[in-house]
Amino acid sequence: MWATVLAVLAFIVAPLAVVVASSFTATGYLAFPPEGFSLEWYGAAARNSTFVDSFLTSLQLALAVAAICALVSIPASYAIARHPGRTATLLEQVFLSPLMLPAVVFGLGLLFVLSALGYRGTFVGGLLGHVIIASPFVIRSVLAGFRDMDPHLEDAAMSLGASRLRAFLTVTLPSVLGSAMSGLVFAFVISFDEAVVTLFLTGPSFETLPVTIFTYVQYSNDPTIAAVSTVLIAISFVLVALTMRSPKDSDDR
Amino acid sequence: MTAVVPDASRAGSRKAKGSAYQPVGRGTFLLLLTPLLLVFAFGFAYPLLTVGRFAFDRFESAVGQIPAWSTEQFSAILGTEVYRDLLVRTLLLALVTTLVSILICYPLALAITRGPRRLRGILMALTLMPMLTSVVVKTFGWTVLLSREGFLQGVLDSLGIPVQLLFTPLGVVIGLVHTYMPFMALSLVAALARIDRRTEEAATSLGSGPLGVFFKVTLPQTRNGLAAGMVLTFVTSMSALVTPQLLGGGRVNTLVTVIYTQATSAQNWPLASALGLVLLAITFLILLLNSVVMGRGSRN
Repeated sequence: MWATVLAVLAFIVAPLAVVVASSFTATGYLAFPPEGFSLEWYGAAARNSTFVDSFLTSLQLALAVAAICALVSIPASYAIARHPGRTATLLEQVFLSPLMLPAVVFGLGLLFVLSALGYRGTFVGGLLGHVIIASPFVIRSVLAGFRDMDPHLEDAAMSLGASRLRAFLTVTLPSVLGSAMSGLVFAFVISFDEAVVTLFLTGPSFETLPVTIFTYVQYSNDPTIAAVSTVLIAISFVLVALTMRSPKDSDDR
Repeated sequence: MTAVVPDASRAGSRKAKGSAYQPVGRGTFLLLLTPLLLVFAFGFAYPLLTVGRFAFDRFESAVGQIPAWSTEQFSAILGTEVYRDLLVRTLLLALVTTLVSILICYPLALAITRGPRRLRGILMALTLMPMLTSVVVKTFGWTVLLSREGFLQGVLDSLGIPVQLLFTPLGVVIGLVHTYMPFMALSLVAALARIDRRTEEAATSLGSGPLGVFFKVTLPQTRNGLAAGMVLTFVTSMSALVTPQLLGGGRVNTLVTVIYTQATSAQNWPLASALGLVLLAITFLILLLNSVVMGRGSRN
């Protein structure tokens, strides 16, 4: 059995290892196993304005997605958690439904709607699509936080004279900070890595890094994509590693 | 016996917690929900309804999209051999992906749940690794490995096996399995972790061999996890766009790649919408079937 497990692990790691390894190749074309060692493709990526622009677009988009998800999803999750009933259950299912729906169908619909309004290929259009896709991750995480926290804290604050708003801001919100942060980091990563819906919404003035890589892979055999992809892998890994630590931190407090 | 006591007390405290929350009033409830509801109404419901509406429009290449209430697109999809083949190929690719995922995830899940304790965390992290990487990057890695000059193709060629990997259904299945197997692995890990190992010990002490124990005791007990993993893997791999597009190179089309090309290059939105509804219908059918079967299973 262990031979099989090792083979499966090799299968899992292989494509990522190939990307990282071939980004350091000294040849002028993608090669695996790589020949020689060189950092020149990272330099080439940094000088390539298409990659740099896409990277900056992806970064701004993912930050905006996380910010908007926080603004609209945290209040809604609080409402659902503190007003249980049939309406709340139904709304929860609706807000989580983008997780099960085929992303292409959603991307297609958004393409139609945004085209009709003249917003196809714009940052705002992409932002709307990404907020819908990323918000379920924030809602799921924050909802669990609101449901699992000690209810006596909120109750005590309010019976000592704090308004609901003040109790929310000074007591409730700080105690779900851990789950909110991990939800928002996930929203960032989902947006930063998203390709399917974005492929429907992209245009000359709005292109994210995964879309640029998608296009380059089809037409080019240049190790610069390997360098850019390695950067993308590194960012996702570092961010997810951070969220894996944060629940432990909040337990310590 | 000792394990039961803290469990019961925790359940009790959670119940007490539930009643101690101060519920918000109806007005506040609506006010807090309004921003997200607006985003979903405009950004989610409206686009999906538009897909539903456009699917019944007509399309003529000289004129473009013609508003109508016609079933032209659906009769074209169900009545033309090209689209029937497309449908069959899409379902077959998803099915093969699901079956291969079971075969490679079962040993992995066994290793994660029953292997040496020190290895479990590492194995789990490695299993989840594909989930943390953009599908574009993973698939790019496969294009390098599977290409004509690539490492794997080289191995096959030197062994004299006349099989091409990139731009073939085989290459697409390799990419799909890699992208969607974490769902299967997670479901199986959860199912295996719930098994009472004493049932296996009992079977062994009653004279069953290791294979008998596995097929008659272990495997049947993971039935529900297996079903959940199969549904998730099937539904998600059927909806994949990036993998068949990049590894199929236009030569392996699925429902989804055709939706994409019809929407973006051919500009035939009614056909793309109708294909989208077909995909949606298959997805719902599978989820419905699963919930009916699972419901019956848990009642027994």
